[in-house]
Amino acid sequence: MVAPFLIMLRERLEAALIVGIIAGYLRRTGRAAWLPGVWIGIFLAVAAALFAGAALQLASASFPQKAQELFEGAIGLIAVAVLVWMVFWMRRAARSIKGVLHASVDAAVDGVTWALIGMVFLAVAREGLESVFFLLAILQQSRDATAPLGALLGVLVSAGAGWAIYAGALRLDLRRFFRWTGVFILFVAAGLLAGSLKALHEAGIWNGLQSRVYDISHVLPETGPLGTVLAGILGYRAAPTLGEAAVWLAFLAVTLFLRPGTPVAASRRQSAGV
Amino acid sequence: MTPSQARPALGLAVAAAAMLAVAGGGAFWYATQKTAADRGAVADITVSVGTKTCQPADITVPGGHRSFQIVNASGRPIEWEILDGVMVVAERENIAPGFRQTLTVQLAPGDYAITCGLLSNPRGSLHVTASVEASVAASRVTLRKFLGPLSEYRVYLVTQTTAAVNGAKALRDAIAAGDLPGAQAAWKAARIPYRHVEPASWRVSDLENAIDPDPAYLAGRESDPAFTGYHRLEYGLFGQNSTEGLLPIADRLVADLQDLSARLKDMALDPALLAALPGAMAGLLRPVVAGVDPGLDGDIGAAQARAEQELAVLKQGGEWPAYDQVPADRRQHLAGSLTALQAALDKLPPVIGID
Repeated sequence: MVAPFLIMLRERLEAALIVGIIAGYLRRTGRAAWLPGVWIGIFLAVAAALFAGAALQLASASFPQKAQELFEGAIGLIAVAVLVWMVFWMRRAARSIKGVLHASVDAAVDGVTWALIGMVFLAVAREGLESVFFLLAILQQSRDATAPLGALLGVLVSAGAGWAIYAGALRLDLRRFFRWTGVFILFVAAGLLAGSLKALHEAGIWNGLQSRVYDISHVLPETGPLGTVLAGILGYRAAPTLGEAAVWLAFLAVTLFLRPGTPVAASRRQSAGV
Repeated sequence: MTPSQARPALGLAVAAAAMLAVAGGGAFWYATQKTAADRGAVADITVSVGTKTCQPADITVPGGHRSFQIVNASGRPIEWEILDGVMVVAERENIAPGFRQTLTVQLAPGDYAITCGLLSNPRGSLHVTASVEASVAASRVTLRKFLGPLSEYRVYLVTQTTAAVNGAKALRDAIAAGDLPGAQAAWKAARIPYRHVEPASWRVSDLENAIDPDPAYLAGRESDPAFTGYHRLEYGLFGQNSTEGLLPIADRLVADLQDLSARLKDMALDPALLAALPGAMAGLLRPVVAGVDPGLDGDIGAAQARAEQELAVLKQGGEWPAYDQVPADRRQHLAGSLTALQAALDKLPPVIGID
């Protein structure tokens, strides 16, 4: 029961965090009316994964893991760009509002809102197909009800984590929200970036820097409870390759130390360079 | 559309999206029921992954479409990969303890490694032997196989035209400075990269006529105003031993080469072009032909090696001698081996279906 729980938790946690962050951001920037759009994104992504899974089965094609990894890698990179853009926007806003709670900071530009909702769709679709096939295997192969229950619990807990992010975002005052969630989002984005590199390797695209930096999978395995949570939130890897570790560190080094005081133009250029 | 106006519409859209998700669930359930019958299909190889090793750890299969059933007999979720060096050929992730997953993959003959659970566990080996099925798959000439050679050639065109432009600029500077020996050396350096792109550049005929016209085909021969480009500069620098009046010609050459560089970058390349490439790019299509006709691939490789060897012995102190200083018997050898290479390359287009 524990293993299916942790697998589903790990696979869904990143998506839940991205959705929670985007929903919180929409709410805090006075675009709460668009929140149903987030649900549309989630439902459509789930529907897409289920239909794709059904089509694959009817065509008796095998689960295309390589294509899936390529998709994950590409979406991961887009998500990193979106998150970094949000953080830099928030830093600029935090500087200008000086701690005063402002209901509608960003006079909603519909295009940006729809782009964020599109991001929700992609983030959920990212692991959707794999989750669907995993659930199928669980339903077919488990002898009792504990394994499906564990998987379901994993989905629920990750959804709860996304909700907690969203709810937490509502409680913080706006300035702190922009400051501290910014740091948190950068850690999530760094983990996504390293994960995308790994996905691109598994898709057969990126094959450089594959030597292992360290291997502590016997001390804190990614598949254990703590490792799973750390992997989902901070991008923890029990045995990262040189490329993954380098890109994780470089990303944080560049983004974390661009303080709100830096001129906007400079920070924009930096974020584009990551 | 403002958010407040959008609200009822958004509510409807949420409901529709939710219905779609439910319908997706229904479709997935239906597909699962429908295919449940053929689930009994047996995989070619069953691999059981334990805590420390795979069982079996050394697998031999014939090449082609092969399926593996991976059984996780360890206490942890695992992923199972087939590796070619560091490259992942195929994988299955998230196999829960006690569960099994099937992986189907197209395998070319060769030696691969397989992962067995934890990273620290020793890897198993997968030996794929040659088979009729694998050679049929390799002999299929698909458009995909041309993609690598074509993009490699595009990069080559870009680097060589850039080198030609830079060479022409240096040539123009030497002419502007009235430096005759410098200009003569610069002409040679600027000429070579242009010769490298000629198989593609002759298709851009307007530029070709300005960059590389032959005076024999012009009404006024050397005094014809249309006599421009490389040969006009060569005529001035080497025939008349002077840089007199060459500056406008050199300026025009730089501009034409820049134009050529831009147009070659956008030119559509087709596989037929690759079949007849000289120099360093000869044999660019060998990876395509290797699977179809290994014998011809070997012939081309041998002929190419012989020609390169003939050329290498001519080199003196890292420099090529002028052709008129090459002894007659050497010339004959060289011509013989180049003709042999040409004959081998001529057999290539029909074999890979681009004649």
